[in-house]
Amino acid sequence: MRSIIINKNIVAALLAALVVTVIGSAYAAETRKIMWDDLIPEGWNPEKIFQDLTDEEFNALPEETYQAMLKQVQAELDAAPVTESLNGERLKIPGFIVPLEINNTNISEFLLVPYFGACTHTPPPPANQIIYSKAKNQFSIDDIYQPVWITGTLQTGRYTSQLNEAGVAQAADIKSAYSMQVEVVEPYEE
Amino acid sequence: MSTNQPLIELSDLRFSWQGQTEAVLDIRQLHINRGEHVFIQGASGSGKSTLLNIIGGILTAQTGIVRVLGEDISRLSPTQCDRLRADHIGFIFQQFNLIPYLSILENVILPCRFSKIRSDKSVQRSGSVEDEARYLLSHLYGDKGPDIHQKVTDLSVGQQQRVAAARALMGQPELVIADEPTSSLDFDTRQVFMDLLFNEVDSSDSTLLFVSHDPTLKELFHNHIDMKSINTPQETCA
Amino acid sequence: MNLALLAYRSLVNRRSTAILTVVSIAISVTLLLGVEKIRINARDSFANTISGTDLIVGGRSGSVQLLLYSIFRIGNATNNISWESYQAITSKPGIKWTIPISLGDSHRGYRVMGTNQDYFEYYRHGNKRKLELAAGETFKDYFDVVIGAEVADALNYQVGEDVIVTHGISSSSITDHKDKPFHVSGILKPTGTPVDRTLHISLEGIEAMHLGWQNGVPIPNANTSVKRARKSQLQPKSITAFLLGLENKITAFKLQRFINEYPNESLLAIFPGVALHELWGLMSIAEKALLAISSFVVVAALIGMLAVSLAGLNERRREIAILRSVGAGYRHIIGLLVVESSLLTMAGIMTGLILLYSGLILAQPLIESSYGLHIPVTLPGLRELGMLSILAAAGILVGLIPAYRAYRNSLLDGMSSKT
Repeated sequence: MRSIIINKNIVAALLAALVVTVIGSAYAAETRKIMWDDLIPEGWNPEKIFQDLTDEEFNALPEETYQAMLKQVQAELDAAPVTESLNGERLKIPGFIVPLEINNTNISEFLLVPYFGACTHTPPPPANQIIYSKAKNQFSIDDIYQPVWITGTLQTGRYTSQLNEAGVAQAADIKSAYSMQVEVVEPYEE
Repeated sequence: MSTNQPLIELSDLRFSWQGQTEAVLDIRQLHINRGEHVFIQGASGSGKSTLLNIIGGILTAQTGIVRVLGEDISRLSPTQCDRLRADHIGFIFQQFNLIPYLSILENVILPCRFSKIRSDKSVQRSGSVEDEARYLLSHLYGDKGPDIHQKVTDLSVGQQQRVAAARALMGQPELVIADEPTSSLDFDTRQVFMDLLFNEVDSSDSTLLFVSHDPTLKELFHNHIDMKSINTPQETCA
Repeated sequence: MNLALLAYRSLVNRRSTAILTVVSIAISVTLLLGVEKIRINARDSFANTISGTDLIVGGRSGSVQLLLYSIFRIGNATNNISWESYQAITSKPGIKWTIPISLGDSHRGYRVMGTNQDYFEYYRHGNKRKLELAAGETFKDYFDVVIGAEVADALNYQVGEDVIVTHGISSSSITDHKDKPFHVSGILKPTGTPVDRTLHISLEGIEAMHLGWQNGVPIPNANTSVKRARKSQLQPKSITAFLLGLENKITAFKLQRFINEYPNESLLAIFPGVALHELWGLMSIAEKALLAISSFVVVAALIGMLAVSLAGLNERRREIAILRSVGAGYRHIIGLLVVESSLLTMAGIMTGLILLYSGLILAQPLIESSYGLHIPVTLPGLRELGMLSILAAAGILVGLIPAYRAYRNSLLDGMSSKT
């Protein structure tokens, strides 16, 4: 079992969290645990155009049509809508860390993803299954391949996108995404 | 302690080596008074060295009372025994008396490093510990004194024995135990050594216990102890 | 004569075995602290170097390897990226900035890197710190060089000097570009990163250097002069790697996948943070192994000291018996032997430190040019002092074993002059 080395800066934060939990346990109970499915709005189904086909229809697709439909699916995945209701909520979610900013051996910014190896073989997670996280207090971690719980305030953001000249056929940019101000990082245990 | 009380009193002393059933020493009574020069005679294996070790507090007897300078040393803790020895007893052995990596002076002043009493007495008599050493060495050596900073490994056996005697007498200990100190010396050297030794022992007011297997030295002493007569070890029945 | 002096004189009397014991402890100390120094500085070398970069892209290789050569200038690329691929990828939407870099040349042991103005604009190190000039300006001309702080210091270069840059990597290059001297236009402020040990020239400058070369070997009689080199087209044909920053970091995965699957060329895109953790993971294994080995060496040295001490007790029975006869108590005898082992251990530690630092001062430049590892000559830190304290304590305690034996012996021996 791996443990996370707590940076000295985070001791104060953890003590504060402890005091808060002791005094107002109701407050601690409000840190809602969510799973990655919660980040996907109801009814979002990027593969719908494929699922609408029967097996025979699917197999009968000409290669070009298939590729074009694939690109549409990809565009849907990129468009990745977010669950607006979660904006501003204090949440706890488990996941894997992909570090972005490292100072000495401390991580200050990272991406949280639902599965291990998101940056290697498996297809990349859609935009609404990634959380761009900024740690309030830098922390260091022995093994980034172990899952963690992160706790913080989730934000949904809108980004203006630049579509290129080719239009819809090319992948559209992300229209909105999740980010989080992370207060606590701890090892994930069932 | 009064000067009338014997310096050394042994009663019902019994000693055997660990794991052995026969007693090496079995002495009912032995008294030695202050200021005496005592010649302890006995053949090899008669237990005379063991007796010296017991009196000197190096070995502990299984039964009996060993009173030295009024203290029953068989009841003392090892630390207390060491302290008694350091403060009141000087030793001279047959050979290899000196520490080879120290100079003559450093060897002679050793007892004063371990005993404040002897150090103080040296200062009292001669002004300083080093001066006491010089004093004793000059007396024991006669005219041709050694270079006191010389390494002891360069000395002859006779010279080494004199240095050992000087060391034993540092700070005027009450008891000097000599275990065959002249057995390595030739006849002439022996005579000189004995004269010098007696002189110094007397001027320090010390008691001398002298063990030897050489009967010719006996007449130099007033008091004699024959191991055969005092030591009656009984074999315990198997 | 106090115990320490007595112990010292006694050791001097047995100086050959004492010296051997001191040497074995010294070697173990040098090893233990040397490994620790390398460990700390290797880790430090790799921290605080890169900041604000979302992806690093290179020709197909391992991710740790790409990180090492592109950022840390350690090792070499096996494949390059064609200029076309670079243009194609960086024209994708969502990329905020890119920095192309070209490696493979050296100047007197320091690496030469080709890049463009974007490097000085967008490269960040430490905690999002920008690169700053200490003197001069960034390159304008094709033959301008901007050098790192350490290069300027070590080679004593000023702004305005002419330098010659060689092809290939080594301190002693056979082939020199004597007819194309470069011009120091600027010197960077120290960063504490490999930037300090790099000479930066423009991508066109790299191409200019190689004009007239076929496959890295000079063509005889192809004397392309400096003027000619300027006038030729100096469009870069390939680069070693490039860094990029995104408008929205969430798009990083998608772009990474796109680059890794790019059909026209075999490329690799990595997250620098992930690759750095992988590197640390590798290092951690090596570190643990080295620490274990050096600990065993220390234990072996202490056991050696114990063995020598116990073996010598027999010879010293007389010496100890004499000391007891002149009034030394058990405290003195035990104290004597403990002081002896302490003196040996301390001498071993001192000698080990001397060996370590003199070796470090001598080897430091060699380690740097061979491995890119910078090990500063610093005083031992807290952890190292902790290790030394444990070693010292162990050495003192080891002395208790022969001490106890010696005391027991002296009791058994008695004052028999036969021993």
